[in-house]
Amino acid sequence: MSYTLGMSEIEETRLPGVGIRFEFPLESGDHLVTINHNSGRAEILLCDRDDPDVCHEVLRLARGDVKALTEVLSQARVTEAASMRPQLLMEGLTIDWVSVDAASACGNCSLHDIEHQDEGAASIVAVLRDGKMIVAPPSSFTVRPGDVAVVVGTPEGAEALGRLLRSG
Amino acid sequence: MGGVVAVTPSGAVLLIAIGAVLVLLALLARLAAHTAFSPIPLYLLAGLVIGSVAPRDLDATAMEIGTQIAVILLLFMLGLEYVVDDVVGSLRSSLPAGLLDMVLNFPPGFIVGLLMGLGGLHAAVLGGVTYISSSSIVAKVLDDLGRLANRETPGMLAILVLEDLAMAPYLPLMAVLLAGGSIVAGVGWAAGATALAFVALSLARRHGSSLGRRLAHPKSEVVLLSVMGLLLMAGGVAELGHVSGGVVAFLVGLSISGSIAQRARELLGPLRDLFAALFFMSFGFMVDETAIPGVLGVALALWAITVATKMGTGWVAVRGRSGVAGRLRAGTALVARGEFSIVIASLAGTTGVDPRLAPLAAVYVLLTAVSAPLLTRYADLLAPRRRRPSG
Repeated sequence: MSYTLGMSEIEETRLPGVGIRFEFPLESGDHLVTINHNSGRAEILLCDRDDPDVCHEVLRLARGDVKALTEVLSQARVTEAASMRPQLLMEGLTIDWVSVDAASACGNCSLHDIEHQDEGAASIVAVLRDGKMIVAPPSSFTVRPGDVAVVVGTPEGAEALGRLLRSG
Repeated sequence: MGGVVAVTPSGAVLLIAIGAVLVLLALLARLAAHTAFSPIPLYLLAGLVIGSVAPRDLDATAMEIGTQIAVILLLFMLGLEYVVDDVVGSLRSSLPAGLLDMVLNFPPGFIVGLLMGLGGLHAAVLGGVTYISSSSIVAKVLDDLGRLANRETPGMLAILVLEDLAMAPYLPLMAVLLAGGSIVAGVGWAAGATALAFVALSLARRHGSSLGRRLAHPKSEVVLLSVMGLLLMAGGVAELGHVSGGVVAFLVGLSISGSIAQRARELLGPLRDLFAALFFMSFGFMVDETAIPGVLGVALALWAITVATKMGTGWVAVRGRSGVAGRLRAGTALVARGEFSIVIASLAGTTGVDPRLAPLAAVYVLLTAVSAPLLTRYADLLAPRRRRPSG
């Protein structure tokens, strides 16, 4: 399976009993490979552009390290999003950008299902997919891992909905 | 027994003995971690050595229960590791290679068993022993050698999935036949178990979280006790009908996915490690070490034949995806037999079985489990030299 996120084509391969392998070409031409183990740990490898059998392990990450690294790297995007964020619309209402994780229990849910699972007062008003903004998606619309959902609601509601989309 | 003393002196001695065995197994596991080898052959060897010096006067019922729990946990955890897409994907991508695997690796054990005069049924047990590669040893070797990212890896893992799936009909069939049931009943149970495997898989695909949601609870002990209790009950009911409890546990594992699978993996993993270590040790313990010299020649021959047949399997399984080096790496890694060969050999039990079967299985697993990591580490040397050696 492969899909596009941003500029790069990401190739996803399941490794039964082990986890998931992701591969995408870097701008330098090398291929970056990550092995996401079912246990939560991960490896990052660099592979030769012509011969994916010639890989060099760059990092071996424990479960906690994966979390920390994800957090650190996503800071850049959060800052970017925050600078674009409009003023708080009014007292008690917040707007948030949430990227949908592959590990999320709602990685492939319709908006209808999400609204039923989420008791908080918040809604998904738009979804950013493959660089395109889908505004006011219908309730039959299905979110996918890699989407960025624009969430509007009470601060607590938006927080709860964000948790639902981020992890299982 | 006095009011203060909780155990009798013989009970206290038993506690000390079990504790000493666990400490020994811990030392072996530590050694295995240092040398990047699987601990399974070390546990077997420890059992063999202890059995040759200590009297074999273990409580048979306790042994049997311990073995059952170990088998149930091993197969349950294996089922947990696989999600529906893995099984469907493996069937789709690698069914011909999986069938070739069976055609190449079951007959060596079966034919050698017949030639030894084990009888058809026990020869079929030996066929199972030589057929199934060890998922845990292969996965560990790939991880240790940094080969998970390699091109040949998905094809190899697909072969392992199909072998594990083949246990769904094989284990009930053998269990019924070994219990003296008719071949019709055996095939019936095997077909039933296979059908159930697909029902479990399709249920997991459609209502993946419904069983999980009912089992989910914030308190760890609630999840642990309910999963373990359900597993033992399901396994016991299956055993009453002479269907392997392990297969039922495998099906339950397959039907659980998502966050509850993650919880169960964390909670039951340590229990599995404990019971499996004791199981491998006690299998070695029950082997009559005086029979080993007599089966050594056969075991070596069987090892040589099945190294070749597994290499053939790996060679074909990753064709079109890998070059010569990758195909050799795949074949050599698949040589490892381990936990399920022991599970299959233990099916035959101890009564009314040719006394050579258990020692032969133990020696064979030792040979393959120790040689496969070595063979695959140096497999690249067999391939024509490349531009750059692979890391």
